[in-house]
Amino acid sequence: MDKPRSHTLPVALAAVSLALIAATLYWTFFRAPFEAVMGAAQKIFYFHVPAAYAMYLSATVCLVGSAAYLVSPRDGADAVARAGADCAVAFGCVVLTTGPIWAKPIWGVYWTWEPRLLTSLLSVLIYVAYVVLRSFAGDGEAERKFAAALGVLGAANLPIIHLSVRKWGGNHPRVISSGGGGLQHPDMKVALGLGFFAFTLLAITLIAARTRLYLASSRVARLEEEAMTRGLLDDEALR
Amino acid sequence: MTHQAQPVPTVTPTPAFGGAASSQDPMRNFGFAVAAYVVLWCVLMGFVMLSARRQRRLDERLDELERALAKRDGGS
Repeated sequence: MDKPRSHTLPVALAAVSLALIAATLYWTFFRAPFEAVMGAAQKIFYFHVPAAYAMYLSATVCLVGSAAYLVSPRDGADAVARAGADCAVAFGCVVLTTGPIWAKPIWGVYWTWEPRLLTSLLSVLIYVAYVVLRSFAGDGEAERKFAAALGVLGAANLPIIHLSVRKWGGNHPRVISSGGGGLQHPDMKVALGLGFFAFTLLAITLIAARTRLYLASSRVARLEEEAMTRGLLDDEALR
Repeated sequence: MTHQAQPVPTVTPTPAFGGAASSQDPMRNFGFAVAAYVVLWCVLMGFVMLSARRQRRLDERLDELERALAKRDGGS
């Protein structure tokens, strides 16, 4: 029954993520020039945009896990969906805090109710709802299925965030998407590219770690049930 | 009664991020950049540390339960 719990792969993923993040920091602050109009505040871009992309990636993982759970209810699919939702909330919080911090010196306000910001906030709230539901509503089949449905439906907002500026206008910059001015300096492009690599690997690492955590949690629940059946939970040491 | 079409919202194209020299101090708004990075790392490190702590507790509980069940299996 003993399952060997190897830490090699998670540690390796974490180490490579950290190295990439260090490289991104170096390129952002020591190689990429200060932006002519925005000054140092523009440096936020090199993490804000990759964090948004990591949020999309995590939300997509939640979608895949949720859809898989609805098709074939298994602990693995549920664990992946929960992990995706957790990471979507974490990266979403990064986006929704670094964005306003950038906006204050550039727009003069921390927040405006414009399409990109509003749809991003909505998406993060959907995944917060998912996390709260799974944390407090119990772990029964019905709760899992309800959350899986939320995970699938919540993903519908992702393309809306992406297309919001094009469809409804607004002040949110479009730098690297169509219609944007792009990055003039090559070191800016390298810094952003490193940021994307770093956050992709970071998202994968965190999703893998959270999936492992939820699989362990399911296993603990099963073993506790087995222990209760055998009367082992009467033992003080095991309670 | 005629319905007028909504005007298509115009988006001012974002100019390129350029690294050209400017007469303004390049270090302006540096405090905001620092604040953003502090928030970024607090959120991510907090997430990682909470995950690690919870994983450690689950691993300990798993070990406990597996030992107890193995002991019962060995004793029966």
